[in-house]
Amino acid sequence: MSYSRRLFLKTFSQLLALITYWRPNPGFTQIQSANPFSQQDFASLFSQYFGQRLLQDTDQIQLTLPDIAENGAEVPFSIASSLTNIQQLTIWVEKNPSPLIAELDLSAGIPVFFAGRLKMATSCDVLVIIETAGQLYKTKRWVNVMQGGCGTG
Amino acid sequence: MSSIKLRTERQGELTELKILIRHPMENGRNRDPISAALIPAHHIQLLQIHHNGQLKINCRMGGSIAKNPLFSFHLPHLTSGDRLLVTWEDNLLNRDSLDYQIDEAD
Repeated sequence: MSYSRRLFLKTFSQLLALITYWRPNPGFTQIQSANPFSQQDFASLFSQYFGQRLLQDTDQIQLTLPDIAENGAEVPFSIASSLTNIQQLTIWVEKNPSPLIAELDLSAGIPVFFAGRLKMATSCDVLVIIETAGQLYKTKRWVNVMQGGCGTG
Repeated sequence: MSSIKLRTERQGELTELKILIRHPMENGRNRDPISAALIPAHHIQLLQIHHNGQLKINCRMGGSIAKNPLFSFHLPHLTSGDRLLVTWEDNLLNRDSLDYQIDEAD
């Protein structure tokens, strides 16, 4: 009698501990997030990148985008900046299934200029974050997309 | 024939590089219009630009860059005889590169 109660308490407490401390396998989540360009949630990926760090709005980044994009499959963008010593530049499209567009490392002395064409699934903000020594700068622009190009994003 | 086309243009103190790459840039969420099967992801994930053997620009990207991508970058003024090497690698580990020499006319 007392044995089965002990067994019950033991099993029960083990189960309780399991439920309390169970987390999705960290190895698995790491594999999933190993490629930041894969399909994932904007907010969680963004906070993975920048966490609680302060993103300072700046007018030192010139982000050029059309106000209205006829075709989401080809939205021209151009980024220029007078900031120096930049370590990394990232481009984000907030509502794309894979929101991180590109990540750029420039070696010292290279002027910040990057232009190309990106895909947008729907109307949303495009963000550019530039990291200089210890400081993060942010700028964003809203783009109206008339037609989300076939399977864009 | 190389999948990369490169054009340079001097702009005062700078040289502008225009790079056009022939690539489908499939993000893996498009469907084949006929069979309705998903087209597997096939996109460039790394673009590198070396100037005289030194890595100057390193760009990682996903399938959210448009098909047949066109990129522009600025480098400090290049002089005749300088060599540029443009390389890309996609998620299927295909690679291509272009060796380019700046000539007097640039």
